[in-house]
Amino acid sequence: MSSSCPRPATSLRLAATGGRADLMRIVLTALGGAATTVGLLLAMSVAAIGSGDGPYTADVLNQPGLRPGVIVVLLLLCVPVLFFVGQCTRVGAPQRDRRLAALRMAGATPADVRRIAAMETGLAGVIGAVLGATTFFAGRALLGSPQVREVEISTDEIGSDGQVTRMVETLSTAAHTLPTDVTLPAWSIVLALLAVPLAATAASVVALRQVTISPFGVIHHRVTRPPTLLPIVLLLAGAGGLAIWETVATTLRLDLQDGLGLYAGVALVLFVLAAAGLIFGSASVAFLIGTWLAPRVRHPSLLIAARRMIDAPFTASRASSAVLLAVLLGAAVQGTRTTFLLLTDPSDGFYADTFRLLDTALLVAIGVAVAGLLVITAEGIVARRRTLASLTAAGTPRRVLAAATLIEVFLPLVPTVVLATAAGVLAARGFFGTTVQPPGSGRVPGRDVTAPVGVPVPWVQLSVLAGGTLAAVMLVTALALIFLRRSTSVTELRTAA
Amino acid sequence: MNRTSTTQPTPSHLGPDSSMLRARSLVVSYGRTAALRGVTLEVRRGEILAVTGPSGSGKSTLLLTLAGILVPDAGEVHFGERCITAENESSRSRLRRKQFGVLFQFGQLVPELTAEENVALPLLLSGRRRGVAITAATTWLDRFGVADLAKVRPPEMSGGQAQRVAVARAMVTEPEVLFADEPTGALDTLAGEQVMTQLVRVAREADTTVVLVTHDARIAAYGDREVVVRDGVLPDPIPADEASVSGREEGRS
Amino acid sequence: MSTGHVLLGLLSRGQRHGYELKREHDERFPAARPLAFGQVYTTLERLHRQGLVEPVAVHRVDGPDRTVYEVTDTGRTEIHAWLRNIETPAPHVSNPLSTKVTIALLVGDAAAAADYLRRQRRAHLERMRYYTRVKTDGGSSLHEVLAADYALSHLDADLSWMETASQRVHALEKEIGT
Repeated sequence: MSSSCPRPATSLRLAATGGRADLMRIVLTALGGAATTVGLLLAMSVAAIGSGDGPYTADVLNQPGLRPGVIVVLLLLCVPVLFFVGQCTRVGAPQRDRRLAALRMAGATPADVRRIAAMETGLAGVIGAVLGATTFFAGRALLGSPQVREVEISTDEIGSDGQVTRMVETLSTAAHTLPTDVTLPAWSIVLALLAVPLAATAASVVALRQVTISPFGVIHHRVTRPPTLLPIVLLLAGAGGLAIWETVATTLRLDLQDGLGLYAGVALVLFVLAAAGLIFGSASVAFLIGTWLAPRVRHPSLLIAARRMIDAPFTASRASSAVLLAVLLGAAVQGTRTTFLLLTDPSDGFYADTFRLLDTALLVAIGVAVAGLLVITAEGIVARRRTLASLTAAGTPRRVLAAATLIEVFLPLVPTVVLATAAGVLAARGFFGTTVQPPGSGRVPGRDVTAPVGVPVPWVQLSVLAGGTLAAVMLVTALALIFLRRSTSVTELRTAA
Repeated sequence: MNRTSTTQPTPSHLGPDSSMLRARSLVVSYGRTAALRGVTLEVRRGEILAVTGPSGSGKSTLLLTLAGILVPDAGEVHFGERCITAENESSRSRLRRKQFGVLFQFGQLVPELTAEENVALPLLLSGRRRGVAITAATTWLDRFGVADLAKVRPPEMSGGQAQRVAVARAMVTEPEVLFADEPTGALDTLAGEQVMTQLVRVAREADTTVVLVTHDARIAAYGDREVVVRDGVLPDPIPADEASVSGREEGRS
Repeated sequence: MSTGHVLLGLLSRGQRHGYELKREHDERFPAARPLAFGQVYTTLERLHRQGLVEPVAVHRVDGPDRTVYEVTDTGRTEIHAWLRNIETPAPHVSNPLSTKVTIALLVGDAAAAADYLRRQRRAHLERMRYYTRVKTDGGSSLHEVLAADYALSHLDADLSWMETASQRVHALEKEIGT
């Protein structure tokens, strides 16, 4: 068997004969892989902080109890980056899929085709991992020297009379910005280096399943209808479940001291369900909007956009899922922040600082997600250049084609971003409850100690989150339209499809 | 080479009103490669002009330039009174949408749109109501014998079917000139014949002038007249009287 | 297709006697039937009577007498007139086409051959238009359409050869031109 399969060099050449698009795919995949590797190594560093390390300028790193949170945030940050990598592995992939399907028709086995695609993506992953590790260790060496900082250490003491006394010490100490002083265990470095190439290879093999199952179907593209019921059920179960979870838990008299693990575990599962519902649902939303619009509209750009939503709803969902995930998390963080700021002493800057860090992380996540959208949109334009150039030659104004692209990206995103925002904030409110008892309420004279305060919905932050994301998407799509000019040029008429 | 950039005088029997398009001394280059090196040509009203020549001779470039899709480096194209080479892109774009039809070898239909929507597209672009546009599209699909494909999308059609839908789209605006670049290039003989027969019939009925680029003599034979592009130039025309078939020498041997 | 014009063409390259002409003919037109010497002799006689060629010398090399001929001015005019006239496009293999191009290259130059090919192409295409009309005309019966298909295929084959020949001649022209 081994003698009959193509040589590695042949496989690689067969995978990358498409020229520019193939090169772009490899470069982008490697860059995304590098970013993920850096993120993973950072998370590993935080995990490896021991008692002898530190202190750090960021307080969240100094408190052992908060580090798991930091690790989770760092790992969550890797998610949109991984989505981005996933999108990059699809740049120029439709043409490659057709090429591979043609190879299948010419007698290549499914294994041959999988090997060809896996080799290329794997190679890009390895390049990315090496690049990421190099960046990480170079950065570590550069930022390694500690800075002299004033560190405030505060301790709350509850006296016998129930009064809280806060003691604040100011220490002048050498602090590191990042955990650059930590010794990373060898296994964690190996793990971080292997994760990206392995994940990328696995993803490319999964993405290729249609080529291997039905090469004829790939060459003669058929419309696949996305599921409608499943995402609705998932979203209702996830977001709805989260919204009532606190009430349910209270009714069930779940002891929050001992049952915290169970309480958080159920919430996490519900959250994942909601996220899955959103991701699957974005395909259905695109499909449904398209199906409703296509037979009705008269404006050509709306018609083209609607038909494209019907034709490839999964392309839209692939592009928007990272954005939706980031918005979902973002809304959850905003909801959590509202609760926490009510729960804690406003004079204690710790939570405000932590949430500021979280906001930065979210901004990065949304940025990466939107960048992935840019890649997908630009790729879609370049892939259709023959048709676009023909339409332009027939007198179709470029602005009609530009509008079609904008609508196609934007329209399905508006309802799903709103849904994601709602689901996120519902999750936070469901998890922490819609009422809290503010700290030190006992100190307020003449007020009932047990009187709970309602947690307001952070409308402003949520609007900024949803609006800002949609604005960023609009901006990025407009940026992708740069490719439209080149893709509609006369020279595209002279090249074979 | 003695055939470069000759200005071809308009034959005296053709008044200005009989010419649809006039191209004068067209020069087009792609980078350093000259595709057209001084082409002067007149397309007469209502004729089907076959532009032939070996591959790479510049015949497609000539079509793109005549249609106002490509702007020449030098020379002019006149459409009636208008000098279209002097107009800006949006004005030429409007001209192409309303008065010209274009037809390529393949890949011009929007793969996501149904056949009727593809054909209705030029009308929708001109702001027609959807119902009106779709009705017109259905009529044209019927005229090309593909009415049963109205709800079918291009990837599900055969090459010949897709090309007939494409001709219907090119003709739906009832253009004054139809530019067809190797319209049967991707089809087998019979499918190509079907497309050409219908195209010629409909063009004659609608009095549409056709500029037909092809490398295939059998397709060129659907035209009324042929010009051959060679190396980016048109050789001087052959005087009509000398080209008559003569059997004078037969039987002398 | 006239043997007389072929011999005239061959003679226009210089003086030849009958045997040389036969050999050259068979060499240059391998696809044609070899000429019988008697046919060469009678044709030359006829051309002489028409004043297109004239005997200039008699060679005797240990065998029969061999009369050497030369083309007259009238002969030259005739060959050029012949070259200017295109062949009737016929729906069968037209060997005269290739013969004529060969002769045109011998007597004239690449430009003359190219010119002939263009005229011939136009005539062929005109004929193809006729058969295409027969086919697209709704009233044609199936056997008429089939006959038109047959004619078109053969004319197309001729044209395809002519196109290749044009390109070769064009390349030759360019080569000479530079």
